[in-house]
Amino acid sequence: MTGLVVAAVVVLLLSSAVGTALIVRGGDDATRAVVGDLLFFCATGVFILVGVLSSTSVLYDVALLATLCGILATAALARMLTRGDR
Amino acid sequence: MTWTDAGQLVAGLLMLLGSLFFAVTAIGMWRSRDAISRVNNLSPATGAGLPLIIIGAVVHDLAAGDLTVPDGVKAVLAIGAALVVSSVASNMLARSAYRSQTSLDPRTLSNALEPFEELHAPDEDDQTRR
Repeated sequence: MTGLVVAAVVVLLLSSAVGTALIVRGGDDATRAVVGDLLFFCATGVFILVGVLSSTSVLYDVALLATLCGILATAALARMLTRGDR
Repeated sequence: MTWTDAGQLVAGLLMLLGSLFFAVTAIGMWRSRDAISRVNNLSPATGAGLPLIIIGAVVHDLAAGDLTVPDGVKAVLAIGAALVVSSVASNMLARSAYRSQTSLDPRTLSNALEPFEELHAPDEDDQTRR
C-alpha cells in the first residue's frame, strides 16, 4: 500500500514536471496561468498523499482550505490576464 | 488478508487512479495548442483526480479506524469544493483566456463566443468597465 502511494506521488511530480516544461517552453500568458492552476492542484495532491504516509492530523483542514481558497489565485490571474477588465 | 489490509489496498489504488488523472491532464495540456483548450484539459485533475485522492485518504483512515466525524465532514466539504469552486474558477479563467489570446487553434470547429465577443488583444486604455 505504501508503494502505491509513493507511485502516486511520483506520477503527480511527473505531471508537475510536464507543466513546468510547458511554462518554460513558452506560449502565451493564459497558458502559463492555466498551468499554474494545475501546479497548485498537483501540490495539494502531493500534500494529501504525503500526509497519508506520515499520518498528519491537519490533512483534511489543508485539503478543505486549498480547495475553497484555490479560486482566489485563479481569479487574480484571470483579472491580470485581461488587465483588470472583466 | 484482513479488512484493514484490504481497505488500505483499495485506498492506495484510489490514490494512484487519482494521480493518473493528473497525468492525463498534463499530457493533454502538452498536446493542445491554445490556452482555452488547456483550460478544458484542467477538468480531469480538479473534477476527478483530487476527489479520488481525498476519497483514498478517507478510505485509508477508515480502514485504519482513526477517522473522526469532523474529518469526514471536512473531506466531504473538500470534495464538494473541488467539484464546485474549481468549476467556477475554470469558467472565469477560460473567459479571460479567451479574451486575452489573439488566435485560436486552427483545429477549432465551432466558436460559440464569437457572435458575442470579438477576439482581440486587451485594450490597456479601456478603463471604463473596471
